[in-house]
Formats: sequence, structure tokens, C-alpha cells
Amino acid sequence: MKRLSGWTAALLALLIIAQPLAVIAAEPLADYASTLELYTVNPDIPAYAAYQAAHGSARASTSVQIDAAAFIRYTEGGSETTPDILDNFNGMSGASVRTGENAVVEYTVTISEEGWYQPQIDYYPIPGKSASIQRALFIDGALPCRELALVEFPRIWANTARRNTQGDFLWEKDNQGNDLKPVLAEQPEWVSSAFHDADGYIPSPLAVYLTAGEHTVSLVSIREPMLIRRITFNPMDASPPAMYEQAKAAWDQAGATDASGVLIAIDAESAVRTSSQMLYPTQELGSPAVSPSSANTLLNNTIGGSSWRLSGQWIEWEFSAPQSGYYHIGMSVNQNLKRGIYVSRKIMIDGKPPFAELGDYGFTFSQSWRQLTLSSPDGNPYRVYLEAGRHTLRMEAALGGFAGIVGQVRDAVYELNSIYRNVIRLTGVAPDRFRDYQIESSLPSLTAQLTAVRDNLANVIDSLRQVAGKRSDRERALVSMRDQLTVLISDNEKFGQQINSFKVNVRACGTWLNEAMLQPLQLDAIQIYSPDITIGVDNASFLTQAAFEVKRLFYSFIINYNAIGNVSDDPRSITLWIGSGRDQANVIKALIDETFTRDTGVSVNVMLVDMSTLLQATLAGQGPDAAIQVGWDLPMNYGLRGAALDLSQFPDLDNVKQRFASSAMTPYEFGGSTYALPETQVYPMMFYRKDILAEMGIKLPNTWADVNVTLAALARSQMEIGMIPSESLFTTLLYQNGGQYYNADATHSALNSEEAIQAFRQYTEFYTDYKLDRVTSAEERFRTGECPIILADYTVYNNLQVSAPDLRGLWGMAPVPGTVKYDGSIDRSVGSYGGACLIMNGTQRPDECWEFLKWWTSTQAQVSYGREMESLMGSSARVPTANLEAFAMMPWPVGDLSSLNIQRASAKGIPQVPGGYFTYRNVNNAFYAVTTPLRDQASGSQVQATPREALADKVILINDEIRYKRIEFGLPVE
Amino acid sequence: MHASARRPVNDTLWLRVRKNRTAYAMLAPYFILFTLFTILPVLMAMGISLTYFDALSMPRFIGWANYLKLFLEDDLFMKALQNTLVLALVTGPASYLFCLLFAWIINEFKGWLRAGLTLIFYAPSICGQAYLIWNIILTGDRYGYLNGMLMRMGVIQEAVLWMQTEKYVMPMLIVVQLWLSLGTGFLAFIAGLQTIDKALYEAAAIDGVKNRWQELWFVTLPAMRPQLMFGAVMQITQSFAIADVSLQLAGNPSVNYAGSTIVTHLLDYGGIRFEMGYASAIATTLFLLMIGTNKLVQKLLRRVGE
Repeated sequence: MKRLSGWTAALLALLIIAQPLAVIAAEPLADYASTLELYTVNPDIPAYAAYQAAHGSARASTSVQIDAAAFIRYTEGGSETTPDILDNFNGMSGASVRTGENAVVEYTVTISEEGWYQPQIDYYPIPGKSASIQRALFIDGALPCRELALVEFPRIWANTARRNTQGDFLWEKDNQGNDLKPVLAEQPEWVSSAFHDADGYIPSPLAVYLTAGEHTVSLVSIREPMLIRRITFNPMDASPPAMYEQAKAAWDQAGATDASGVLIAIDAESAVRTSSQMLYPTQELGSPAVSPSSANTLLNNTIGGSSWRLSGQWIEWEFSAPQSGYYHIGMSVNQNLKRGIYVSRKIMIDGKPPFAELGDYGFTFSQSWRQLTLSSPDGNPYRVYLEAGRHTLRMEAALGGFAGIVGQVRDAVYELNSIYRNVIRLTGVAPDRFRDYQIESSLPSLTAQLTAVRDNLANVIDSLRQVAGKRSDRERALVSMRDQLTVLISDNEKFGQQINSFKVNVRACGTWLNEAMLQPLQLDAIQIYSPDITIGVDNASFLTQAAFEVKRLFYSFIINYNAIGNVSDDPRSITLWIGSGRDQANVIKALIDETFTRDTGVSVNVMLVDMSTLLQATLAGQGPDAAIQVGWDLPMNYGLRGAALDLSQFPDLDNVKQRFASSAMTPYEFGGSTYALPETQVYPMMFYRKDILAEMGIKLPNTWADVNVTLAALARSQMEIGMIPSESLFTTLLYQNGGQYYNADATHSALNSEEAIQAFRQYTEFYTDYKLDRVTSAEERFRTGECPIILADYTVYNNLQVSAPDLRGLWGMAPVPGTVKYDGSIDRSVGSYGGACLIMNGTQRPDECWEFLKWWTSTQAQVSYGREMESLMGSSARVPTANLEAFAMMPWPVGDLSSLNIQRASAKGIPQVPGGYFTYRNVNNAFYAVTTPLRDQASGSQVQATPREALADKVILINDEIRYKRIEFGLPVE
Repeated sequence: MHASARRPVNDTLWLRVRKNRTAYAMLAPYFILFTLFTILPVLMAMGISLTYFDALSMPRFIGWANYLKLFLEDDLFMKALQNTLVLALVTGPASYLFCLLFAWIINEFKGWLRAGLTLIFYAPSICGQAYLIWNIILTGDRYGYLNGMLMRMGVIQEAVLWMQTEKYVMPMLIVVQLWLSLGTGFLAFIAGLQTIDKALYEAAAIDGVKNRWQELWFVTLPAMRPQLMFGAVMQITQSFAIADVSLQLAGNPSVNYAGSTIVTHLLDYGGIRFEMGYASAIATTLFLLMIGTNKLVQKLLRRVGE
């Protein structure tokens, strides 16, 4: 009872924390929004396994249907309104309801028979932001289980390349003979889908337990709009799916015989549908075994690979069987990424696996491409019965046999992190190895917790050996964790010596988890063939491989790999330098060719270059016409020296500037000139761990005064706020205190103002008085929980999303703490920075370049680029675009997007001025003068400078440099 | 051939070149490359050091102004010069002696053992950026190896930011530089030791050399004077040009310029502040400094074995 009230208090506290966030979610939605915000830390919402265990095994026998148009309430953005209702939409008879990306739709349903039901939804993925649709399902205003808080429904994609008469795709080529990556477009259709666990831990569809009587069913939008026709509660499927033996016996009984003389070969890259934009044909150039293959050009010849790695992603092919009968299914596959475990695929014919074995088919590791036939574990090729006529073959990435294992490891990692936090609360992160901490008496439940996790891990290791066959190096992380736990169980006091290795082991398990969840598989071809046909063996013998490599070596002397895509000699063409990676360059080039060059007729030669050579190249007259993805300090420095074009000569600059927040423009404007356009804009946000804050009853700090209170509270448990000294942190404090970097004319540093000194003192006090860590990565400590609150650039959001599956739903993002002003308002200013694009002054074609820059920073181009990058590299590659409209169209969940927008509204740019590079350098020098011991020349004793003196000393240097540079540029110095 | 030999010897340069044309032809590739990529840039740097040049617009002649600023106004240059001299004076001779000592010792071993030991001692300087592992050792939180070790031994209570605390920067750089310094000089010494004619030692023994030290001083070292010279030149150049270690470990610019050397100072002006003229003046100064020291060392080395 006591524990429960503690929880309630913690929850209440968190609800109070959530208040500043309530600005984000409008009032009437608060029920759903706050439940979704806190479900991971709410002990009343069980995980699916517990939910199943808590209710009986009663199964319903009849299904219950809810018509989409029969809603009792529909709210959008918190206010009740009427949704769009579409009649007989796209072949679906009856009325369908369009639910928005921030909507809740509620239904009532009368259940006559108590028991388990599997919900199913008929939906149509109407166009939105191109991300998969996310919904939560509430029954009677509550989440039945955690998994229903986030259910994903894929969109359907198909490539738009033309086909020849045989139905093969005709890929477009650039003028170097390389295939272009085809454009995938959404090809929506009506889908009937069950509710699946988004992480894939639970292989079967999710079911809910409904008592007899009337229930409210609500579908809450998390991301993307969705058109729905009906929700059906089906009785749970009682019988397990048929095994091969049974299925085969049934077919035999029906008189099925082998087909004969049939070989249907499908190029895997000509898939007709995929669940994700990421799944487009890939270009394999490392092996002669794929078809088609070429040593000197890039051909679309395979599909999948590392982009086909997430559970739930599927690819679908179509074929027609000329005769009814048994067929073998053969494939040419490459699985060279997962050694020691297999990669699982759910193979479906016409929507479902023909027998249970194909529901979880494993592809084992092999160094190179190989041809295989789907076979039973003892090597007998499966005979699959197909009726004559058209069929679809779909392969879906699934965790398969690993689902349970991965889920258990996730829970173990979470549990171990919480044990770690409990222990360091006692011992600190650097315990004294000779001290007796009395861990056992202070944490009486520790041994039991450790034993539970150890036993779990031991189970996991056993089942891993069963599933993956032989022992593998994959299990090493888990084994060493288990062994360490055994030692710690026998003597809790050993934590004093082993806390660091314990942490390292937990981290290794986290990495294991990340790895195990990825299921990459690359496919070259699929063959459906009658058993009397023999498939030729693959042709990658040692000699062909060697000859292929020699050819590639030879071509490497001829082909200019720096130039991306079409290379044009057209005198109107412009040369563009790109400073990031090859993937980015490929995507940008494809976008340019598809839209910019087509619309304007200006061709662009894209070069992938290390931007540090821009200076030398410009000096030598070999520079580009325009450059994108350059650092934010470069444009002003080039501009003042006449190397970057002043964009203010273009009359429509002011219009173009409307695309960005004015803070994003700040670094590129000086003395009335504009030397670049912003491409990306990044600023800090505050990330917090919901679970730890709730556990400790700590409120999320709203102001810097609160931060000091929070720091004190955290320090009692040996925790802290993760803030690494950085320019952005200093800038944040400077702006919030009302300070500025420079005076209005940029002739002097303004860091000697009282506000700036106050900000600097505040900045240094975190490290002198609170002794915050100045080095260890805050993100890393956020994951272990040593820092339940961190301040970091908002791009960390995507890293956490991707690399911390064990923390899913356990953390949130909020605007940074603010400073209370005299009038009671809270100033949340932060410094922002980002990347830029600019035109070089030496260009012969400024107008074309300007057109290009306008196109590149436009909403359309930025959105396409962002989506392409995300589809190519996953959501960790989300582009932090500076274009405001495009930013809002990136697939951010609605709540997070509004926090980001709130913070952006108070972001301020950091001006770049002549000599400006001296400013942060000297602030940093002053910072270390204050926070590290200096040797006093006179007495030899250790002294530390005071913030005021240290900063004032440095301001003199800054002013000297600014003056010197201004004289150099002939600017007034007073 | 006879006819040309009988012709009166007109000893012009062109004729001499013609006479030795094979030798010149073999010299040519290196000579051309050396001129283009070493002599020419050095001369250009000297020229540019007399100008104001921001790397993007045309240079403007300003006479000695850069040098005046360098020697009279630039406190940071003085600090960089001081750091460089300390690094050169401590690591240069020390590592030179170490090289010689280790080469001499290793040379006493035979066969595979010698080859293996040579590899071990030379390895840090082959693996280009091997010193980056010092980043882990010197990391400023409790996870840095040095901090971890010292805290475990109870020497320090709190993690020390080795590379951000001014007073530790130089000592740490010296340690890392010493670790790195068994470079080309070391290999040259080993090669030198192996080329010495055994007969010399026998002759020396007959002439009355009493112990190994005398053997070293009167036979070994004089016999490998060219290698000693080469080693010295390499060592000096390396010591004066220390930059990467400082850039990578202490940052650019380092905290309060505690780890700045002439070359990092040069990079600061050339790369960050766009002052190529001034950077060239620094480079020229460094060049003259190196030449001067080389001359000095050569004088010293001539005394070996006397």
C-alpha cells in the first residue's frame, strides 16, 4: 500500500511536470495524451505478457464489427469537430472516415461474449508525411497493455520506372551508363491489418480481453493521417497454423501432384510493392554472381540489404503459375552481415504463410552470394502447392524465433540499468574498493533482483543456442554478463570493485540488443520452379571473382568516382561541391536531375569533395560555382574576402529568407550583405528520463533556478544533469541573461557587460560548485541513467530513437530551462547553429547558381531530400533542415514537433563578425582558467581565477583581434 | 669517342652535364620533384612572408611588417617558440640518445630476435596516428586510463583534465613525443651499425682498445658518422615541426595556448585567420631556425671520435 501511494505521488509529480508540455497537447486530449506520455512508467498498464496472464483464456467465437462512420466523438487537435467522410472511396463500399495526424476517434461496441478478441482494421494510407502510420488503441479510456500505445501501419510503395513488354523494369541511366535509383511513389490501397507489436517482440497479432457489455474503443493518432473503414474484433485464432507435414498431407489428399517443366525467374529488384521507401533496388557491384552484373557501371540488380532490416518491413513480388501443382521456391541471397545467428523472414504466398515453417524462415550467414531452395531443416526442399493463376509472394522481416529472446534481453538490460542506478546511489560511480558499503543490508532486495536477471539471461543463452544452432561469438556479451551476475550474487559487496565492468557489460548487452533486432537480407533473384527442373549453380567461382576484381581495378583508373551521376559539358552547367558523404551526394544528384535540371534546363555537375580544400581550390581558380553543406563560420569569412557572392544583389532574397527562422540567417549576414542561405539549423533541447524522474519524485526543471534544486536532489543519488561545456550552453546562458556577443556595430565584444559576466559565472559554477562532468558523453550517461536529464542538440532525439531500443517510451524531450525575467516571463533563448550553402564569387553563372540555391532550400527539395535520407539510412539520418515548412513536414510525432517549434521560436543565431573566431576560443580559455587549477607564479600554490577577472582579461584579446581584423577589411573601428 | 676525348677540354657547365648525362638523367626525376615541391614552395613562402595575403585575394607587398609584428607584438608566438624550444631541447637530444642506445643494444641480438625487437621499437612511428591512443589514456574523466590508475592508487581524488589544465599540457606532450620518437633515425642507426667493417674492430683491438665504451667512441660512432648526421637532421626537423601531437591531444588552439608550438601557431594563422602572409613569416622563421640548429649539430658531430 505504501509502495502504491509512493507511485501515485510520483505519478502526480510527473503529471505536474507534464504541465509545461500541456501547452503542446491541447486540453481536451489531455486524458489520452498524458496516458501516452507516461504509460511506460505507469505500473497500472501491464506489458502484453502480464496482460495475457491476468485474464483467462476464454476465447470469443463470433466477431464484432465497428463501422468507421459510427463514431461517437471525433476530435482533432483537441477540439471536437467533424471528420471528412468519404463514400465508396477507391473501391471500398460504404463510408470511410479520415482521421487526422492529431485526432482521436471514439466508438462504442457491445460485446455479448466475454473473451479474447483480435482487433483488425481496414485502412487506406492516404498521403501524409510519407512515414508509417502510428496509432494507439484505448479500450474504455485506458490502454489495455503497453504494446497498444504504439502500433504501426505501413504505407505501400511501388517504384515508378517504366516496364517493357515482358514486364521487366527499364531503369533510367545517367550519361555515364549507371542506372539511376528509381523513384518510389506511394501506391496506396485498402489494407486489412491486425494490430502488431511495433518492435516485433510479439510475433502474433495483439489481442484484447473484452468483458460482456458496452465498451468504448478509441483510436488515438500519434503520427500521420489514416482513412479507416471499419474496426473488427475477431475471435482469436485457436488452432496453431499447420506445419509442413500437415499442409502437405492435406494437399496430397486433395490430389495435388508436382508441376512439371516450369521455371519462373523473378528479378528480386523488380518487386511490385514494398512497405517502405527504404526498399528500392540496390546496386551491388562487388560480385559477379548477381544478375545483371558489371565491373564498370552501377546497375540496379538486387534489393534489400542493410535497408531491409527492421521488423515489419516487407517486399512483395507477383508471378503467375501456368499450372496447378507443387513448386519449389529458390532464391539467390546474400546474408553476410549476421554471423552466428540467422536472419528471419516470414514468407507469405497470397497474404499468409502456406505452412508454419515459412512463417519464420531462417537465412544463415555466408560470406558471399549463394543460391538456395527453401527447405526443411533436414535439407528436403519444400513443395508448395500453387493453383494456376496469379499469385503474390511477400517476404516480411520478422524477429521470428528471436522475438522472445530479444524481448527478454531488453527487459534484462532495463532491469540491469536500474540495478546499476540503485547501487551507485550507494557507492557513487567511482567507489572506493577498500570500503565496505554494506550493500546487502542497504539494498535487501538486490540479491533477488540479480538472481532473477541472471536466471533470465541463462534462459536466453540456452534458447539462443537452440535457435541459432551452434554457440557463437554473438552470445559472448550475454555470457559475460551472466557470469558477472553470478559473482555479484554470491557477494553483493563485489560491486565496489566491479561497478565499471558491470556498466561495460550492461552496455555490451545493449549493443547486442541493437544488433539482434536488425535482420538484413539482400536478394538477387527468386525462382518458382517445378521439382523436375534443376537450377544452375551460381557462377561466382574463384576465377570469375578474380577476373571481376581485376576488371574493377582497371576501371578504377578510368572512372572519376568523385563526380556523381550525369556529367555535363553544357556551357550552362554549374559545378556543385558537396561536403558530406557519398550517400547524400547520390541522393542530391538524383533529386537535381529529377526536378531542378528538368524544370530549369540547367545541369549540375556534382562533386563529392572534402570541404577543407575549398580554400585551396578557390585560390587556384579550380573552385566550384556553388557549395552546399559547408560550415556556418565559412560564409562570412569568404564573403568579406570577396570569395563568396553577396546574395543581397538578388531582388527576391527577402522572399527566400521567409523560409527560415531569422535566427538561422544571423551567421550569414554582415554589414548589410548576405553571404549564404542556411541549410540546417540545430539548437539544444532538454531530454529527460520519465522512469527515473518518476521513481525519484523529481520535477522537470522549468528554470535555471529549478536546475540548481534538481542538481541538489540528483546529487543525493549520485546523479547529475548531463551538460558538457560547449558554445551552445554558454550562448544559451548568455542570451537568457540578456547578454550579447558583440555591440551593435560589431566593433567590440559585449562580453564585458554585467549580463555576460553573470552568464559566464553561472556557466562556470556548474563545473566548480556542482562539479559536473566536463568530458564523458552526456548521451551515454543518459542511457545508463546516471544523468536522467541532459541538455543536447535536438538531433540526439534521432540517435536515441534508433540506438536505444531498451529505452523506448521511457524518455521525453522538452524545451531547455529558462530564466525568469523581471516581469515574470520566462526567457528560453538558446543559441542555434547549422550548415549553409553559398555561391562562389568566381562563378560565371551567378543566376543559375541562385536558382539552384533557391531550389535547394525550397520546401519541396528539402522534404524530398529529408525523406530520401531517412529512407536510405533510417530515422537517425533525419535532416535538421532550416526550412520551416519542410521541418514541419518531417515525420516528427506531433507532440515532439510542437516542443521543437516552441524552442525554435526563442532560438537566436550567433553572429559571425570579423575576428569572431576569437570569441569562443577565449571564452573557452577563460572557462578553463576558472575551472582548472593554475599555478600561481609568485607563490607556487594553486589558485583559480575568478570568473570576472578571467573573462575581462580575455575580452581585451577579443577586442584587439576584432579591431585588427576590422582595420584589415577597412571597416570603421569605433 | 676518341675524337671527342682529344678535343681541348672546354670545361663549361653544359659540357660537364653532357659528360655525366647518365648520372644527371638518373638524378633528374628527384631533382625536378624536389625543386617543384620543396625549393619552390620555400622560396614562395619567403616571398609571401613580405606581403599581406588572405589566401583569397591578391597579395599586397608590406615589407617587414609581418616580421615586426611577429617578433615585437606577438606574445603568443613567443610562447609557441618557447614551447617548441622546450620540446626540441628535451625530446630532441633525449630521443636521439635513446635511438642510439636502443639501436646499439638491439644490434647485439641476432637474427629474428633483432628483427622482432626492431619492429617493436619502431612500430609507434610507423603507425601514423598511433599517438591517438594517448587520447584514451589522457581522457579527462574517470574513465581515462591515467585518471583511473591514479585514482585507484589514491594519488588523486578527482579526475584531472590532463589536456585542458595548462600546467599538465607540456609535460604530457613531452612524454608522448618521446614515446613516438624512435623514428627513422633509429632505423638508420641500426643500418649503420650493421655496415661497419668487422676488421675495424679487430684492428682496434690490436691497437689497444680496452673496453666496449672505447670501441663505441673510437670505432663504432666515427664509422657511422653519415647515419648519425642523418639521424640528427631528422630529429631536429621532427622536434621543431611537432604539431600533430599537440593538435590531436591538446586541441587547436589548445587551452590558453598551453600546448601551442610554432607549427600550430602557423596553422592557426594560415587556416583559421586567413593570414597567409603572416603564416609564411612564421614558416620562414621556423625554416631559418632549423637550418641554424642543423649547422650547429653538424659542428658538434664532427667532434665525434676526437
